[in-house]
Amino acid sequence: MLRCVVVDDEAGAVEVLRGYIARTPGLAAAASFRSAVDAQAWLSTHEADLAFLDIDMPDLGGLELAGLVDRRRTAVVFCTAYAQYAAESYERDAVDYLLKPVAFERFLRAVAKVLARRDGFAPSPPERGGPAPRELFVKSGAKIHRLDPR
Amino acid sequence: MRRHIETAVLAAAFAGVFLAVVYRPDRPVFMGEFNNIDGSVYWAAIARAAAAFAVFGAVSLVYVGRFLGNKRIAAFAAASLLTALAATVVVFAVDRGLLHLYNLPTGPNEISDKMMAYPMRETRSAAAAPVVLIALGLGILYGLSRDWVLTFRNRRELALEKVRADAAFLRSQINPHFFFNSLNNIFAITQRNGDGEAGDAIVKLSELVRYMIYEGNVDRIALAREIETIENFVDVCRLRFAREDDVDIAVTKEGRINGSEIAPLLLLPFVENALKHGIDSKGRGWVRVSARVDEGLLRFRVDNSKCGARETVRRHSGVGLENVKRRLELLYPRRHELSVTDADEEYRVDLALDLEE
Repeated sequence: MLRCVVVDDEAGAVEVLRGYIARTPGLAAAASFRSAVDAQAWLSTHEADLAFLDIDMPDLGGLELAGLVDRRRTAVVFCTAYAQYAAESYERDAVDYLLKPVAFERFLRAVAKVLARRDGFAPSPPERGGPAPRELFVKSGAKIHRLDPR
Repeated sequence: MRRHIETAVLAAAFAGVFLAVVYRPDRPVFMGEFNNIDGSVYWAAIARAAAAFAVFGAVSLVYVGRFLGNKRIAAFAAASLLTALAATVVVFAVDRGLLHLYNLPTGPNEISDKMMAYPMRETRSAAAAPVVLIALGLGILYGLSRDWVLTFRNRRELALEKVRADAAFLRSQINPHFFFNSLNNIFAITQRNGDGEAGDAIVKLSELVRYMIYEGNVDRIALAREIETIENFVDVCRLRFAREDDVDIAVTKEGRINGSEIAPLLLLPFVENALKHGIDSKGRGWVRVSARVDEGLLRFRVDNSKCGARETVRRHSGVGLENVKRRLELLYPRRHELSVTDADEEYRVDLALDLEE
């Protein structure tokens, strides 16, 4: 059973994700928060396997909160209305990046990714993480640049 | 239109140069020479003007664009030289014909009555090959400079277009973050009430709008994404109709769709147009969209019935297609072919697009 935490300042978003978690076998909602500060306090004393984090929140944002979470224990999936944070979220070693509103099928794919990562290998630091990427895409403004690492 | 004017002006210039024949007076008519007494020299000049213009025009207006644009230098050289050779042969044949027709000397030992009758006449002799070679050289020069100017102008227009698009994008920014969060909150209501149908529609609409706002702004996007967006768009459009309406819209894809890239929002306007005209308010009519990729060539076809066409809508939508045509000219110069078939019962758009850079 994966213990899940949902953090989003909008009630509707929390409601949707809690509903999805309840519908998915193998997932259990441990807690949900409307503020990243509350979530951080809870996470420092409790254990969770999976955290769904909004990015744009007052006081403490999802990207910052992800930096404070113990990543060896807790996998992070971002769930946001912003399309432009995808690159940064992968830098934070997030498992997936969901764009609101999220269809249930898309949610299930994210969960499958989390499970695959738990079964396969522990979230590893980038320097020893799998084979080197063949190419890298960087978005700057309206342009997407392709970098070839070789 | 502009191209036809350019061709006509060039043709007139060539004819003028060759008809202003420079005479070498006070020489007898020798073999292979034409003269201005019987008028044979004018026909010879016309033949040279025509041949030179054919070579010049083919090289500068056709070959430079078709071959040098995508760096096929060997093909360019072969086509140019073959054309020059053909023109030389034609002029040579015309010369022989004229000599016989005007009864002029054709060989060194031949004595024609013209030589006897008018021993000192204004004559002109011009071998065909140098004329054709000069035309070839001028054609290459003119073609290259013309291409350079056109590329320069294209690039400037593309930059202008981008500025305009950016401005439109800024105007359209009604804070997308607010918009998508609100949609998500409405999505939450549909989930609360167990309305999966409404939920699906909201997800598709938000994906469609997100594509237009964020991804519509990049230079190239995966072709699969553009087609996925077309499918989303079709699904969102279906919402207009009653459940019992049997709306006939089909999207098919074949070949290597994955791995190809395209300028975003290039195909969607055709589908938008087809849905507007092809299906009436009661859901009657049909639309077929098909995309097929073969060796880097996209064949995109949209057919629709004409039952939904109302006069007002028809007048309106010309602007949309004009816009797409302009974008195609700017983004895929000489790499696309668009044909529109406007029949009584149906309307068809066929687009062939060379996707390889």
